[in-house]
Amino acid sequence: MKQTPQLIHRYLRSSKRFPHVWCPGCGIGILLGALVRAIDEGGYSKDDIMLVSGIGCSGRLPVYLDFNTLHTTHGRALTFATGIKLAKPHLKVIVVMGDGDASSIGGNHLIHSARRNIDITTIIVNNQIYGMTGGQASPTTPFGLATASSPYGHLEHPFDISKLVEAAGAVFVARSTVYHTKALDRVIGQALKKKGFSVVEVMAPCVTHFGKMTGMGSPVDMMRWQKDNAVPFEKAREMSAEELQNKIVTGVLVDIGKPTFHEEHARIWREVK
Amino acid sequence: MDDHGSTGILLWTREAHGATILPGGSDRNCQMNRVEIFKGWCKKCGICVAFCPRGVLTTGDDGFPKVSNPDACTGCRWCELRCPDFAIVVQKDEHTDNA
Ligand SMILES: Cc1ncc(C[n+]2csc(CCOP(=O)(O)OP(=O)(O)O)c2C)c(N)n1
Ligand code: SF4
Ligand code: SF4
Ligand code: SF4
Ligand SMILES: [Mg+2]
Repeated sequence: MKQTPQLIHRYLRSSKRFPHVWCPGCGIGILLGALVRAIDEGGYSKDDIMLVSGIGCSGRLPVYLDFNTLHTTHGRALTFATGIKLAKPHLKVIVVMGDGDASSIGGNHLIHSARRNIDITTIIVNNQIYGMTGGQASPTTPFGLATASSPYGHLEHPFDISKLVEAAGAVFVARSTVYHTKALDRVIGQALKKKGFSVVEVMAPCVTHFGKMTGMGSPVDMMRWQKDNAVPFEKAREMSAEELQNKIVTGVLVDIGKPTFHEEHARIWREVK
Repeated sequence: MDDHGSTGILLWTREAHGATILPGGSDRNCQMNRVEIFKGWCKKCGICVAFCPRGVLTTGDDGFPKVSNPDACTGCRWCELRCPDFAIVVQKDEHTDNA
């Protein structure tokens, strides 16, 4: 295995200031390493990677990487990415979004990209909160949690993002935590190889807001929580809904084949010409 | 895309950032895995210390991780993989039977 810091130097932009902007112990940094390792392992050339993000702490990830990158508007990363994929089909298009970015303002783009089966790998950083704007509740915030926008407890029930995109038609769906880093590298690698709309939901601690609001405290406590509460899909199938309360179900949830939007689009072009 | 308006310090080096190097450093003869911490990038989150399966690392008085028990290191790289800031690197000694 190559050393991560060495690899990172090959892919980081030299014009950026380091250490990076994320808080101490924030899970997004661990994801950054995992993404770089998976891309390197997949043997893609830097010029063939197109990294697109929206706005949020997670949305800052592509800023640091020396690929083709596009930092778009909040919630709209998938719309830009769809255009890029259709115009330049040879590019490996990867989208990085936060839970708010992906499932709140960008929720419709998410489900319709999955339904359409556009050939894009989407990485959703689920820290269960709006990190960048100061800890407001997102569509994945647990019921009852007091947040900056729900001081008396959150009145809404959370989305299960992986199940949502499965139902919407994604051909590859996996969930991992940043604590289970080797599994994270592996599922990102699988998602990159997959043709069609692939999604990796990454559970990544927002230490500063989610940590404070849940009373979980330090980065170490939050990582330990992931360690203690992750359950593989296979095992989860035999567990009851009560037993699965507050657990993180991890692993590959969906891996199926379906014609991609681009393939069908190309076929129509040939036939109609 | 903004870049915080600054020139970056991309390459951390031992010299520039006061890395903790195990006894012997790079010219040591004995075979063992070497763990280096680059204080210039480390944010003292404690993750590497907490999850090293062999208790190789402790937190020093300055809050930075410290290699306190080098002989126990198996070169598993979990500290490196989980560091959010790429501030710790493991030089695995391929000949060690400490795996
Ligand atoms: C159109 C628009 N609406 C709202 C915002 C404010 N805003 C910036 S980031 C963000 C949410 C961030 O949460 P998430 O997407 O989960 O990313 P995180 O910071 O947690 O990684 C919001 C609401 C914005 N920038 N643009
Ligand atoms: S606010 Fe939360 S998500 Fe944003 S960098 Fe800090 S810990 Fe990470
Ligand atoms: S390589 Fe493994 S054993 Fe060695 S310090 Fe890192 S986590 Fe501990
Ligand atoms: S995990 Fe990285 S940033 Fe955190 S204390 Fe260890 S070396 Fe420093
Ligand atoms: Mg978020």
